[in-house]
Amino acid sequence: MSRTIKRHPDAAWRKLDGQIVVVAPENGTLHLFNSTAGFLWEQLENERNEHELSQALCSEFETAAETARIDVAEFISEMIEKKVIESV
Amino acid sequence: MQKIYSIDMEIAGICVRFSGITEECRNIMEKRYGAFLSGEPDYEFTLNWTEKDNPALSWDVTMETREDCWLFYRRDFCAEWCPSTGKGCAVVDASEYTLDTMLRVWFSTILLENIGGLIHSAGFARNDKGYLFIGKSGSGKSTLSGARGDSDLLSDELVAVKKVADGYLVYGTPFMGELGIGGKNIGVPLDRFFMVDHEPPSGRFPINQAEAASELWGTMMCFDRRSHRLKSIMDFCTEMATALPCERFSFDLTQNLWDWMEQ
Repeated sequence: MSRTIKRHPDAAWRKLDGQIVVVAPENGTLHLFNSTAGFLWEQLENERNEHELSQALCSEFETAAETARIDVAEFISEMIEKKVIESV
Repeated sequence: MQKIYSIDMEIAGICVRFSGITEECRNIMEKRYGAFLSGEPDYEFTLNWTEKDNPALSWDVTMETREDCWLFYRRDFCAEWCPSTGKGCAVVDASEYTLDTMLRVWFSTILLENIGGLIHSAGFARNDKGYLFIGKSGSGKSTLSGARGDSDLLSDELVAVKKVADGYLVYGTPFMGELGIGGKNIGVPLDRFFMVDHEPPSGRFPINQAEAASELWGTMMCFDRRSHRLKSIMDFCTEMATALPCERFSFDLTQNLWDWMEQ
């Protein structure tokens, strides 16, 4: 089942030189995102489910659907662990 | 009966009156912070200089907020500070190192309230311009400070930076590292900053703004982890990384620092 994801409401973030920088609110750790993670983060301006994120990734980077699905799943797992996004 | 004194101390334009201090504490403060003991106090802090060791607490500093006051403490000191009244009090173990740690924590926190911060860096003033060489412990800040040539030392450990209308000001502090010398009590416009790396190859290398902000973040002294504070520090770091030139700097001390910088 496709989870719906949103940014942690207290996660501070900025875009510098095209690169997304995010601070995890619970431990104050700063994360520098690569282009894929940065793109997905920007997609989360509104709540999105995994399927929507995968489709957006496919369109943006012209990647295979299965590759995008894996990348999105990894992004979500990692960012939930870092507490910068959360399941709705 | 023991005589009690007060001392006014100013760093980066922030002046606090420490009251209730003993002669021993006063002597230590005059010796260690002499160049910074002046100013018109904006705040007041009562110090209880005594035996303080609570083994139930760790040596790491903890900061909590309670109503509108901060509490910060570790094994050898505890302090309370109320920003709304500008007053606080602390129980500090009778050691200059404990006092120095408490002062670093307090000044770093109050600077954050004033759009600034204490940054782990070596700072120099030369020709009315400030230069910061930022790095964590072991990055070579003190070594670099020893080779500062014809510039004024702002600190080899913790330099104060404040954002102002037309840029950033960098101030000397008495907080010293391995060099064992406090900084000069001056403030100058910050011209640029460098991320220090003592690994070869030596040289100056470009660094993008996101990396600069990220590394700046890692060297800002901060114990206040509230989300609005984290956001304001992030603003400070990203704006400074955007506004000022920054490079990675790996040094070669066989040359004069400033000759090499001008190459």
